[in-house]
Amino acid sequence: MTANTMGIIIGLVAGLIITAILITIFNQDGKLKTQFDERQKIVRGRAYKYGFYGMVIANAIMLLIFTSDVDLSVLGMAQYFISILVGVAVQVTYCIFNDGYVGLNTNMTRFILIMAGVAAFNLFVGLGAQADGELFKDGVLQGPFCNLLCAALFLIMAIDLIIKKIMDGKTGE
Amino acid sequence: MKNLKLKAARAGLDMSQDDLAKKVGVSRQTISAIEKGDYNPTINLCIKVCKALGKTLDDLFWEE
Repeated sequence: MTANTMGIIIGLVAGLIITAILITIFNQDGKLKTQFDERQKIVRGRAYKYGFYGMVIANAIMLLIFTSDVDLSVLGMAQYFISILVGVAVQVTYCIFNDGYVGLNTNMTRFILIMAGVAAFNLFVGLGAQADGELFKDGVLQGPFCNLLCAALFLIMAIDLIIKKIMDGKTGE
Repeated sequence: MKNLKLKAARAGLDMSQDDLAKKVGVSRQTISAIEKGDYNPTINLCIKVCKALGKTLDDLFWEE
């Protein structure tokens, strides 16, 4: 196991522990947890199912491409990340278009700010690596490319939300 | 099938979908889906809706 891998694992575990501690401290009344009504829970269940199918199909397509003559090694670690992102994109899109994404107690201003912040952070890391010439190493895309993919996912989410808002505005009550 | 009885009962009390949704603890879209017939609510939600509108289950959810 390389030092880089160890660093990623330690970072992930530390992140999980910090998140668990923060949630335990700030969510004692249970209000921090997003609440969904019964229809939204059903929608979210279906969304996870379709997200899973999306991930499996994306993985199968990647596998087919691997077996062909197309060389995907340039994608580096992103080749393992793409199918996960496809699954998440399917899940999020289904949820948004079936009104299952925004919870009953969601503060939309805070939600949008957090999402924009995370998207901007990922974009910053990705573009920063590009500017520093660290996006490619030996002709292979490096980790920060995954940050760019995450930023793209947030862009898809933002577009979904805008389209949904326009659709809701047209249909009215 | 559209639930016109629910829509009429709600409108009769001059309530918006949002008002009713807040009263029964669901999203506005869920009330809209029930009225449009896109979603069949659980019996618990039906009872909450009936109580909020002062109607019985027969009044709102029984098809003749």
